[in-house]
Amino acid sequence: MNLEIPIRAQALLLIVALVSSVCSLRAGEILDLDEKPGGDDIAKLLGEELTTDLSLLNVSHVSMLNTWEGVKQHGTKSPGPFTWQAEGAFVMPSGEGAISALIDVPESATYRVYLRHQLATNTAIAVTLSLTPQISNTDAAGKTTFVDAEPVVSHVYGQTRLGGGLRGKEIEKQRPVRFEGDEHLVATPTDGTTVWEFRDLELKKGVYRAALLKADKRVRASALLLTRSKDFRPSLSNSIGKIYLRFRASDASGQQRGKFSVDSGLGYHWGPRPTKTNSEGVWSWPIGNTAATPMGQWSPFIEATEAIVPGPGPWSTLNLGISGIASGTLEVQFAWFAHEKAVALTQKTGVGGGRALLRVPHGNWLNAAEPGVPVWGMWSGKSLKQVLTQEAIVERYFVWAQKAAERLGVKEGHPLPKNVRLYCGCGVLPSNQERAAEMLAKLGVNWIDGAPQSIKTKYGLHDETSAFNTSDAAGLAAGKSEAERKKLTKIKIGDEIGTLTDAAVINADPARRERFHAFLSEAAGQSGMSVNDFLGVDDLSAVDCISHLSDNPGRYERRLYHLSHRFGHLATCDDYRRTTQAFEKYFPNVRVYNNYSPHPVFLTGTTMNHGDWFILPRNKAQTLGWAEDWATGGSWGLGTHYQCTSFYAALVECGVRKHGYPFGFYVGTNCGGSAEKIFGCLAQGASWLHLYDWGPIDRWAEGSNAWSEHEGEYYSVMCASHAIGPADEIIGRGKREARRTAILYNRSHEIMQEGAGRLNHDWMWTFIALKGAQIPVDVIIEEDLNADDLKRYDCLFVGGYNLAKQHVAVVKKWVEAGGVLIASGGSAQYDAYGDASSEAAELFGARQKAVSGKNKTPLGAVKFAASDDFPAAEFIPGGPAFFLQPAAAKSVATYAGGECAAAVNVLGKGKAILLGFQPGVSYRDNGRAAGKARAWLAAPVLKRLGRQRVEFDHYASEATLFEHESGLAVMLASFGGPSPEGGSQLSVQTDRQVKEVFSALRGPLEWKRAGERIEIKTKRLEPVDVIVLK
Amino acid sequence: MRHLQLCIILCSGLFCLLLTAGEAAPKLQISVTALGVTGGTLEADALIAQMNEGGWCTAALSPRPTRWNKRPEPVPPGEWVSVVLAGFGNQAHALAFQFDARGGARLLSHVPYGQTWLPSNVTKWIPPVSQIAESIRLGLKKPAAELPRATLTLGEWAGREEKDPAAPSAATVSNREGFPPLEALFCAAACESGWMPSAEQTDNSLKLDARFEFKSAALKVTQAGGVSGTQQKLDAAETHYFGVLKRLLFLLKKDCGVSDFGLLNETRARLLSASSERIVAATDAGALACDPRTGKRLWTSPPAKHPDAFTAHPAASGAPRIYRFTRDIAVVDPATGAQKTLSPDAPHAQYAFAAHEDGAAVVAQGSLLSAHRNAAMLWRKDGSDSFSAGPLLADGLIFAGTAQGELICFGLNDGAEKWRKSIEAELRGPLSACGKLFTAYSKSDDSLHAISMADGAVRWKLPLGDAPLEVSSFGANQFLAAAKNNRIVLAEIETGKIAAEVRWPTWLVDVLAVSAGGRTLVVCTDIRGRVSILDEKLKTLREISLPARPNGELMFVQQFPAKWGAAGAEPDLLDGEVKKTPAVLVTDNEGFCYIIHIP
Repeated sequence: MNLEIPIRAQALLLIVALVSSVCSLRAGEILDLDEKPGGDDIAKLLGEELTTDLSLLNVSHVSMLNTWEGVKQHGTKSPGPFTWQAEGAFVMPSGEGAISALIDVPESATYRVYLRHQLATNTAIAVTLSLTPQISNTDAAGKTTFVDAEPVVSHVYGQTRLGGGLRGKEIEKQRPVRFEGDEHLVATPTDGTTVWEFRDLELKKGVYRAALLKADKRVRASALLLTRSKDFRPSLSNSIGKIYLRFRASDASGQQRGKFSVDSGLGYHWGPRPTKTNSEGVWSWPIGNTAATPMGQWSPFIEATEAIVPGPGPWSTLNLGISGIASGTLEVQFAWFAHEKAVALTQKTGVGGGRALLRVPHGNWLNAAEPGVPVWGMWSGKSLKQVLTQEAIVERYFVWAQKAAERLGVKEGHPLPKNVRLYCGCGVLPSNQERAAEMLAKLGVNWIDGAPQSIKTKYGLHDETSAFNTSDAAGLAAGKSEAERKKLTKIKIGDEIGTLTDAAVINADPARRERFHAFLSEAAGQSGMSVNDFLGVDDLSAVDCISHLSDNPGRYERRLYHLSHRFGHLATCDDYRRTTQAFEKYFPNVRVYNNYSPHPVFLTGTTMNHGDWFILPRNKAQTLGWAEDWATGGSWGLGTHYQCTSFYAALVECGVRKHGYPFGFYVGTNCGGSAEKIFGCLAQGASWLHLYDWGPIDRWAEGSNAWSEHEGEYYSVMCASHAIGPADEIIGRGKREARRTAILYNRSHEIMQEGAGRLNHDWMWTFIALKGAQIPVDVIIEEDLNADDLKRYDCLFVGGYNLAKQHVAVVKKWVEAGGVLIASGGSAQYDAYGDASSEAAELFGARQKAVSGKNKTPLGAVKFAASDDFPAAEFIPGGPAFFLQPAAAKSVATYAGGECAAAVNVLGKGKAILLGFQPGVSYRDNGRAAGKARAWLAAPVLKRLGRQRVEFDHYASEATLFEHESGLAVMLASFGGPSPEGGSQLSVQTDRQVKEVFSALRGPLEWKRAGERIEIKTKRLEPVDVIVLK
Repeated sequence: MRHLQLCIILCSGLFCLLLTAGEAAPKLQISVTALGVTGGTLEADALIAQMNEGGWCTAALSPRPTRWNKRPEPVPPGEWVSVVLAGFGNQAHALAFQFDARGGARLLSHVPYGQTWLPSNVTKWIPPVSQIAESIRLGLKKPAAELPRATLTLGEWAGREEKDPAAPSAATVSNREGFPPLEALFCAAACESGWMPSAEQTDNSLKLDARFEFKSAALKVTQAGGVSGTQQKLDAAETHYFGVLKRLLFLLKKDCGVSDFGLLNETRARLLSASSERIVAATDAGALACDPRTGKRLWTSPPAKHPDAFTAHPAASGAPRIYRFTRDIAVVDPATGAQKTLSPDAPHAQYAFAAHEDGAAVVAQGSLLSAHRNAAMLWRKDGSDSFSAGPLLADGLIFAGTAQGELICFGLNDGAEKWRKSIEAELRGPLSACGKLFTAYSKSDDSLHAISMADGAVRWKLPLGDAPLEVSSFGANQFLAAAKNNRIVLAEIETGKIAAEVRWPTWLVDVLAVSAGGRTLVVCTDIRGRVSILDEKLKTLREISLPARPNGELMFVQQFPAKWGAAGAEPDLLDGEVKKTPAVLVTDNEGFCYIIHIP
């Protein structure tokens, strides 16, 4: 056993010995009121209270005891040792021993040393404070440690009693205590009243270990304050713990004339702050205005405590509006007391457009002890370091952009995109706008909101404007010149919109109601029935639009419900169309859009029943398609590693295809994966990308909107833009490879089944599986199930339990003409209105029966024997399962129990393949791109289509071919990590003469022609690149 | 009581001339007036532009008239359309009237407050320009349906306003000019209740006394000319001034068939139970009870998240018991609204539970069937397949069915399986007891199957053609079945043989068998707003047209007063004893409840 006592333990023992000798009072002993506690000269102490000088306030230090070493915090899992424990702001002894903290006394002087603790009226609750000088040792590694030295200064607190029937202010005249608040001064204190008990102590400059020890078990203490000011009256509720601001402005012109005032308020970013009157909370909090102050002088202090300390989240933005100057500088001082000697921090920031901002941390700024680190001051250094000017914030962004450029390693002058619009905001204040815009331009952003003209010219940026969240065309046009109106090319009239007009609104509006009845008549006609046969009424005038089905609906009701829902979306188009046309009247070059969110469709909801992404552009009610992704690498990305964005983009493209509108996308750069998302969108034909959105974060109420704080996205954006740059003309003006495969987004199913089977996830995963096999694919809707539109496609995936009989008939004809139809379990078993459909059984040559309770377990694996259409495969089927009963069709797969799991029905020149499960979900659940269902899913498609024009052997990727007279480009994006270090194999079919093949980011590549194909060895893909064939 | 003496005046051919198909677009002069509205102004230029946009009329802004219903000179009669925003504060109705040469008015357009589409980023009320324009177009298209009508003049009228007594500026305002919207609203209400209001003196004249108190109104119409009768309603919420006025005027119509009405709620309501002491109704917000003798609200349930959270099932006695069946199942005391939990399980549909007065409850949740007594679980079984039909609780037995055609009978107390039958049927919806049988609907063949409670044997099948709306006993030996394909059938319980049937011309809202005056009758409501009373052969005895579409279930009360709120303490209410007779109560989709006496 090692009997050596460590130096620190020796020091503690010494302290204990010394304190024992000076403290003669026993805990709980009752004192005579006339007795002088601890032998101090109370008259002398109190006499010094007559001073009025606060000039020594700047030499003050507070330390919250609950942060001291040896205090067990509530809920801590640390084993200790702990001899005291914290309860809220107070600490109390839980055993024998001391708690301590290091303080760095700045100068030798007499300090008034306050202990904030609870006293009794007639008993002593003693605790000893010792201040032990420290000797520092710095080891070779630069680490400094401290050991105790002498002489120890100590004092026993808690011998003062509050009894005697005196009021607080009378007690203060007689005893060395200060009460917390005015209410205590006029009242007779009770046991347990919290006071600041003080003692004047001589201290030398240097580090001391402050310790509390020898404590009565009843001790409840919370703070230690050392100050040279004897006039300062401590109070955690009134004087300590506050935050004050004052300002001094300087005009950029140098003429410091006139006056200025500052209107200040806090903007929150991490969540709304609840208030008594606003249950939803507020995102901002006013601080107040300063009085008009002559330029160059300091304004009076204003208090900001209530805005800053309890604010939600780690920090917020201090927004400052400066009247009196438009540009210049503003100095901001932060003080813990409304006195110039209590200023703890001065910051200087630029003023632009009469505004300035700083970032401030939330919570109590008071000093907290740091183990082994001597500290001094009223506020913690950590808090003060978090007070940042906008210049400091933005400077970090410039550094990150520079690092991104170094990592990417491209040369100066690397081509950047022009035809593809990459837009983002530049929300810094005017004083920093030029630098920020230039930084963004270098990243490759080519349409920067608010960029100075000089930057637009220098970098050839798009010189257009946009407007957001307005439906007032005339109001927006008011005061704008013709040139300005021509410049406005993009207007958002609705954000994260729903498109369903409420049935009650339709019923109450005679015109809408009339159109609804005409719509019903038309639907009856399309079904080949009279209105009476179709809906059970001979007069439609009494038929209401309905919003929901009863529990056991009848046939007429189901038809009416389906059509009511359809019409509810169409009715909305009328209003949006009118708004869109109004904007077109005033702004000749404008594209009008609404933004659709995946939240109600894929994340929190299951259908498009409240917000149909297709309906408005298909009905000319918006002229620019648009959606957003909110896709993170985690659950909001639906486990697709950002690739869900590609599917969302395909949905938007489906909406605009009918009228040939362009489409754009809020690329969720703020959620990560910018490069993959940009590529996913462009590969589906998007051309207006808003990299949502560059900050700083301080401009947003809700902080998750900004990507400026995400260092990794600077590289990601730069990587994407610089990859596109050399192929910009090919991608921006060329044509995408034709899509010969389509996936049906079945709205009838969503309307009638309310998301049963979560089929849109199956469609998404099917889409991803096909994209991973380099099969270009479109999303289509039921409107496209007509002979003309279906001619474009050779393969079609359908799902959804409901499909109109006329659509089944069209699809059947298409199959007979040579199409390959692949249907998931339950497909078209009902017509669009929920009646059983015999047409589907005829199309598939098989009946299907839902696997119900009695026979649903265990299904086991589905087993495909090798056949004309599928390779041999065995995997776990995903999604709701159906047993198939082939009639004309041939079984090609079985469940473990022997039931038919897939059947192929040859019809004319084509085939209808019916699966008893969901193919996309099966792909997802069986290893995704690296799993065994990948080749299985693509097999029947490739069998029909033959070799694809582009083949790329890196799994979990998208490879998209663009062709232009100037060359070919293959966009490559890797989802789920970089490709192998050695690169991958890319094969491109082209008859064109190819002289040069290069990577937009990595330069020339090895390639050779093999027949009609160009075989290319690509380099590591991380995460995107474009291969250009010239 | 004096009969109403109505002078029916055929309107001049003016309206018809305006819009005869194929004729040139009508020339219209539009005046725009805002009466009592503070929430927004109607842009007259935008309205004119909108009306001219479609090419169906030639509209111009008229010279400003002296009053909203005073034709401006020199606009010819028939060319003038008075567009009026009338209301209180921002709760405005947008109205468009057309007056003939004799001062008779018809309502071309009525866009009520709160029924206007607004862009997603707009929350305040905007006068609905396009909606008004479009509905004027439609209003002009159908003059024939408006005629003939009895004319009605608002003779004297008065409005008194008593502001919030707690407000510092509380004051009573009492002058006719202080209530400019009232006259316009009266005219619109008269139009919608089947009259032709006139700006000129006619043979039928009414006095309207409207007293607006803080957040409530007392409306009273009394004879002032040819019309006989007095109607009065108190405590109408401010959002319902118009609805109450419309129904007051409806009651004054000859043979309207309704003895009185009451306002249950500000949105649609459906009845859960009714007696002469208490009416309980479900609304979109929860359940409430009111006393029809005083019209006063008795209780209101805590808000329910689901609009169909409350339902009523018939108890063994035949009277409905009220349940709240979301989250769990609770029985609701109609006297107090107190809820007592019967089962912690909640059913998947309104029909998927059954309960008994003794505290027993059985609940179907997917494939689980559970039985409870006073919230304590008796047993729970996993049926493997989802229960899609029933359950039904009768004579200590539980019956339930599946979409796979499985019918199962359990003992209530021990869950012991009594019998199990498999039939070729996709069973859906409620099971209904008819004597010793129960009926089950099969979606696969759209038939009603009658099943023996004793052994599960199928006794007969009745092809209905669609899902049932109502199945209930009719007399001792028959049952009444109404299907959602508009079919009403009376058939023999023992054989399923049809005794009478009728195909209704439109959708039925509810069908109810009632026994009154020694006869068993069928009462039904349909979406046209009609209440029909049928005899034992399903022949129509009487038809009543309500001013709004019926909503929810009919309720029959053997003794119900003729007047709603007639026993109230208000001094100026109608005097005299109110007679009680058998009555059917029906609610509409605007929150009103009507009393219809069965002869």
